[in-house]
Amino acid sequence: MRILESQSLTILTTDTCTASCAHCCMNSSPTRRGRLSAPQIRDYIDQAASSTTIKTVIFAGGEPLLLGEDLFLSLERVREKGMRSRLVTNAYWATSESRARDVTRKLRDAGLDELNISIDDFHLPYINSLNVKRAFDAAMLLDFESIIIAHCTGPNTKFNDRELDELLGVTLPRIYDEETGRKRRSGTERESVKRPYVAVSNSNVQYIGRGTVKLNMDDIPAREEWRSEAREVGGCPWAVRSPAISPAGHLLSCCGFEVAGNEVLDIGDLNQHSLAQLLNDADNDLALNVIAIDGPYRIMDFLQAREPGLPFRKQYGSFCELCQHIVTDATIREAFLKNISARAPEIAVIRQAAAEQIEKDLEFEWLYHKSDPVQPARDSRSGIE
Amino acid sequence: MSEEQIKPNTTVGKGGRSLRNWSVLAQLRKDIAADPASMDRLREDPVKTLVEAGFDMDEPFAGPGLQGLSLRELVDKTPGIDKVLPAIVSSALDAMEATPLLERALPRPTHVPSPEDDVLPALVLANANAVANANANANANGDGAEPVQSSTMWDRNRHLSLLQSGSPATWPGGLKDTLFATAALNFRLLKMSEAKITELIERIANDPTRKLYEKQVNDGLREGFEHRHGDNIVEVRVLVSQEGTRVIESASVRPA
Repeated sequence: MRILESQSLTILTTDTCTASCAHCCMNSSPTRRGRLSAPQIRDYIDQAASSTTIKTVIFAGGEPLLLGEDLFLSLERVREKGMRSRLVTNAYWATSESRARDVTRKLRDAGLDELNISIDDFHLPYINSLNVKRAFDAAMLLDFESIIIAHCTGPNTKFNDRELDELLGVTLPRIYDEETGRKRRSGTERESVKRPYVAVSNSNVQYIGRGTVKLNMDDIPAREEWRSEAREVGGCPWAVRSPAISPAGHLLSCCGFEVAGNEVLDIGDLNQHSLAQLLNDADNDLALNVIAIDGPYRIMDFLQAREPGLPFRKQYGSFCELCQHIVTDATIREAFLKNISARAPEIAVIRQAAAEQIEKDLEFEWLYHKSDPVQPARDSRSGIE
Repeated sequence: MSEEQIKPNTTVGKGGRSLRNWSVLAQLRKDIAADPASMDRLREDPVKTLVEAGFDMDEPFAGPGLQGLSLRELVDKTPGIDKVLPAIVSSALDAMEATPLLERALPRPTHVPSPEDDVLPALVLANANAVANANANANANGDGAEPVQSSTMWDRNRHLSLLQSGSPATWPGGLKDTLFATAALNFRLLKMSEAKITELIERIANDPTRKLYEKQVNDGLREGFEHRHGDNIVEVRVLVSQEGTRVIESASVRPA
C-alpha cells in the first residue's frame, strides 16, 4: 500500500497564460506554449479514478480557460468519474457581464464544483480588476460548492484587503490569518453548510518561481514566527500527497513551483509509465519521504549539522521557498541526496507505523460507513501493490 | 526551469533512493520483536532470511555507513563477508531500534492541550500542520484554498498529517467515563467495545456530513450530529464557543 497517498491531483493544463505575473511560481506567460491535449487529460483523469485515492482534480496552469472546449470536456469527465473538480483562473474571460455569466454557467454545467479566482498586485497589470468582480458576481448566482478569491499580498503591494473588499463590495471571510501567520478558517462550521462556501484565500508573496527574478527580497514579508512554527511542525503535506502533472506530461511531486525536470521532485514521464506506477515509485522514494515526513526546515537543520558551509539563506518565507532552494541549488541538492541515506532507517520505521495505522483506519472506516446507503468495500484503498 | 530541460527520470524510488529494502528490514525488526527465534535464523543464514522476507539482493542499499552497493555485490566482492553479514544486518536493525517511533517526524501540535482536555490527537496533528501551510503558490494553484467541504472525508493519511478544517471537538473532563456508566444511554445497543464507541463518537462530532442542525445558544453555537449505525442512531451534540473551540456535550444511542 502507498503511505504517501494522494487526495487531489493538480493538472497544469498549459503553461500559457494571458499574464506574466512577477510573482508567478510557475513562470507562466503568453509566450510559453506547453499544453496537454484533451485525450491526455482524459487519460490522466481515468487513471486517477481507477487506480488512486484521488478525489479532487484541480485544473490550473497557466490559464486553463485557454484550453477552450477541451477544458469543459475534461470537467465533464471528472464528474463522470465521480470526482470533484476545482479550477484556478485569472478571469481574463469575464470581459462583460454577459460573458461572465455565460462562462461561469458553462463551467458549472460541465460539473465544476469549486471556482478559484486570482487577483492581486501582480495580476492587475494584465487583468482588469472588473473582470474579477464580474466573474465573482456571476459565479455567486450559481450553485458552486465554493468560490475562493486567491489574493496574494506583501509589504510593498498596493492592492490589499481593503481594496479587495471595495472591489467585491463585500468583506469575505479570510482563510489565512496574516496577523498571526497561522492558517485558519474564519467563521464557524455554519459557513460550511451554506452553498457556495465563499472566502478569500489570502497569502504572502514568496521568493519563488519568477519572483526570484522579478522581485526583491524587501518585497517578501519577513515572518520570524512562521519560520519557527514551520520548523516545529515538520513534514510537507503536499509532497507526493498533492501531485501535479506538467504541461509536458510529467508527474510532479507537488505544484509548489515549476519542478518539471528537477532531479528530486520530478517523479517521471506519464507518457512512459502509468500514474499508479509513478505514485508507487514516489511513495517508495527516500528523498520524497524525507521531504514529506521531515519537511524542508528539518532537512536544512539536518544538512547544516553535517555540512555547515552550505549556502542556505538567512531567511525563507515558506516551506516552498526553502524547498525550492534545497532542490535547485546544485550544492545543497547534492548534499541532500548524499546525506539522506542516514535518514532511511527512521523513515522506514515511521512508514511501517503509518501503514499499521492506515490498516486500523481502514477497518474503522468500514465500520463507520457500514450503515451508509452506499457501503464502501472492505478495503477501498487503491494502489495496493 | 523550462520544459525543454526535462530528461527521463529514472531515479525516483529506485536504487539508492529506494525504501523497499528498508521496509523489509522494518518488518523483519517487528517479526524479531514478536518472535526472538527469528533472530537466530537471521544469524544462521542472513541472506536466506532476508530473501525470504522480500529483500531485493540486487537493489543498491543506502543507509548510514552503507555505500549504496547491493547486498549481492557486497557478498560477491567481499571475501569473508558472510562471517560479518549478520553483524551488518543487525546494525541496520539496531539503527531502526534507536528510532523514536513517530516522535520526531510527526508534527507536534502548536496548541498544547490542557491535561483535562482529551483532544483528538490525529486532528490536532493535522491542524498543527495546517499552520505552516499558507503558501502563496499553493494558493495560486488551488491547494491553499481547500474549502471546508473538501475536508469532510475522514482523512486516511491523518497520521502523516494532511490539511483539515475546523477545530477538532474535545471531550470535557469526565464525560467519556460517564457515557458508559449510564445505562440510559444505551451504548450496549452498538455491540462495540468502549474504545470503538469512543472513536465513533469522535468521528461523528468531527464529520460535517453528519451535521443535522445548528442552534445559537447563550454559550455559543450548538451543533447536532446524527449517524445511523446498523439498526441504531447515534446522536452527538457539540458546543462551539465564541472562541471557536468545540466541546462534545453529549452522546446517546437509540434504536432507528
